[in-house]
Amino acid sequence: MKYKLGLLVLFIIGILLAVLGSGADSSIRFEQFGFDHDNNDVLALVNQQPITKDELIHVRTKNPDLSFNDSLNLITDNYLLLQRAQELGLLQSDRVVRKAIVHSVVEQIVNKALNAQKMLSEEALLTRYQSFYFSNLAMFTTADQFQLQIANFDNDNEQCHLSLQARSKWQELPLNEERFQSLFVSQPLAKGLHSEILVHRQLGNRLATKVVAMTKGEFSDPIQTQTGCILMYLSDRKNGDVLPFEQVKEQVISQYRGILRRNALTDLLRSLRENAEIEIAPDIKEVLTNE
Amino acid sequence: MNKSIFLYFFSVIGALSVAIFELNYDNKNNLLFIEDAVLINDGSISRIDYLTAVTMMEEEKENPMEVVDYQLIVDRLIEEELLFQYGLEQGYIYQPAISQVIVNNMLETIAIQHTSEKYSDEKLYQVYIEKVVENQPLESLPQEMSFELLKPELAIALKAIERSKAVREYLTWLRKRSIVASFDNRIIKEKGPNNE
Repeated sequence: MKYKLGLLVLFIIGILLAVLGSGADSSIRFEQFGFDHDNNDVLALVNQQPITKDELIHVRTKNPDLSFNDSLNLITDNYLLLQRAQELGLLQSDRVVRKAIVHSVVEQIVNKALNAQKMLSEEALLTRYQSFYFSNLAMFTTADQFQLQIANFDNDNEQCHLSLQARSKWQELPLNEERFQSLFVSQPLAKGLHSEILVHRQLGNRLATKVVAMTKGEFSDPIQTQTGCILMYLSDRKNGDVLPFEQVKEQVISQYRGILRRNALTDLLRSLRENAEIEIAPDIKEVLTNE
Repeated sequence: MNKSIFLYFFSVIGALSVAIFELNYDNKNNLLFIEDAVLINDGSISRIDYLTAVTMMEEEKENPMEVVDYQLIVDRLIEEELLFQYGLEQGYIYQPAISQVIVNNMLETIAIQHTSEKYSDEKLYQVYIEKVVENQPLESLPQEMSFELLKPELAIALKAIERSKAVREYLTWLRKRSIVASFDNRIIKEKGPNNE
């Protein structure tokens, strides 16, 4: 009986202490709500989301007639609506908002990466640009150029055999192009030097790949095409030149920044992917694994 | 004999349990992906978005779609969703340009949900008598103050009042369920989920 009474007393004391404790410190500390002691720019918290002085200034600039309290209330109301929209999943389905958020994230990540560069001295930056230039010389090299003759044997029954004969004959003799003019087809690549892109455009990937691999004065093997058998003769080739750093400095800087941007975004996406739980629908997964 | 019946009985029960479990597992998986193509953390990419992207690419491409094309689509959509989720986590919705769009949408939604589409002539006439005529004799009012002429404007005004009231009530409700703490010499002025 005594034991039970003791327990009852302890229970009542416990309740009293709890009640008193709850009112003992009515001024709740900011830390409980996530206030940062060192950050004096925070004016209020709306469900832990800080309203900063900058935001208040922004609102008051846009609405100069609003008082301090009214401005704070306006921001608070906006925050509540934003949080409610998020809670209801409205942002997920709103394409405009989605795009705006994604765009903003990308822009900020990119700016962050570029701003980090601004902290470097000019000398350090120059060293980086130069190092980038030397590691990517292909980017700053003029394109190779080609002049090409094509001989067509499409009127003969044993076209490829004939073309092979013609090839050996031409190779044995000191080549005088005029002697073989009748066999050469009139086509744009025969006159003057042309870029690799144009060669690809004119001849298609299959023939262009062969041309790019040829050296000046070289004959190709006979190649069977839809129109018959052909021989290609690379009459001239000008290999691309590496442009000096000073000449392409602006281009180097632009490329360097472009890669910096891409890398910053790739790094962020990699880390987000690593920490995300991603599950693809079985039917789509099947499409992706079908080879 | 008894032992074999016993073993047979338990193997049947075991097989049935496995089958039911598998069936449930498959159904659960299928249900998860009825509307979604990819689940990413707490978010998802809808099938509609995936199929729209596929259709767009199919229209752009001259050659038939390949596995790499589908992979590219899935990768791009996943990346967009990851960046979107990251943006939400980082509070990008509070940036003025973005928040303005969301707040306007919310206000519009509240207005649509909480205001009548049309007002009856009786209702409008009641407002006309209360707010326009007040205590004056009807005959004394000029022609341009007649009910018929003012009816459209009264409807607009009524809608605006109703909208403003709906927004106010909604915001009051939001405040009641939120914790709003303002900073004044490091003392919390408003507190608790029911601060009023």
